[in-house]
Amino acid sequence: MKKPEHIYETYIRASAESLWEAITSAEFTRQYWHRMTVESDWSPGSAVRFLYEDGRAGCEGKVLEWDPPHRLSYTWRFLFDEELAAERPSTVTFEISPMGDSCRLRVIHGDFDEDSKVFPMISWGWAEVMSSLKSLLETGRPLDVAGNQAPKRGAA
Amino acid sequence: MNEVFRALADRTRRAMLDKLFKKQGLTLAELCEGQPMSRQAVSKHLAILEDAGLVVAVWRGREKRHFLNPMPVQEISERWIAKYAREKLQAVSSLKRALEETSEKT
Repeated sequence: MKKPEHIYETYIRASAESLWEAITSAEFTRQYWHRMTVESDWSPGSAVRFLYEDGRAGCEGKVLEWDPPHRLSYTWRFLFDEELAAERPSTVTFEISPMGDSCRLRVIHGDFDEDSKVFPMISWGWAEVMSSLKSLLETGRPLDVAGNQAPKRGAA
Repeated sequence: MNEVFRALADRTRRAMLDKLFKKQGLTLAELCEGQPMSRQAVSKHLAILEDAGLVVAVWRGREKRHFLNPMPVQEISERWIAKYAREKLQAVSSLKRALEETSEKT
């Protein structure tokens, strides 16, 4: 029985080490990942949490695999909606493979149940986050999407 | 990006992407179902989609599964669409400013 999964692949002009840092350090994630900071001591079994600026957690999980700078895997549960939070956690895996002066970054988000509500919802979200990460590492600026820019208070 | 546009410039290949959008992780045999084409022809189209990065193939046990990779399309959207959306937002905000200035005067 095959379980639903999404696979994303992009090439980023950066070293495996800087890519690794970008996906595991709070300083980086808040710049390109919906302004969320990642928090974990990264030992297998430890909690991983993605926090909004106000301290609320948007997602959480547990570290499954930590093999720097090649492979990182953790479970994933959305918290911002009761129905989504009630689902069994899925699994996110990052694979970094150096290729010349770039790296291939592959994100596999799988282990969903057949009737998962999260599965159809996330597809475009990852594309934006990964694309913003690519832009940040290659140009020093995240993309103007995925809620990466500070909210313009009082404007429109 | 040339390869992406070239890969997308074919109705059969776009239909294959639509099929993967509906159901990720199909095998070659599943992609052939309902196609009036030989397995070789489907596999040739698939290779073009893979070269363009639009499809990623991974082994799951003894099966090779195919996934629609949205990243190239995301890049096209940023390159060609996002800038127009930004101009639209700028137009809205300058309209807002203009209207506010007018209402301040009246």
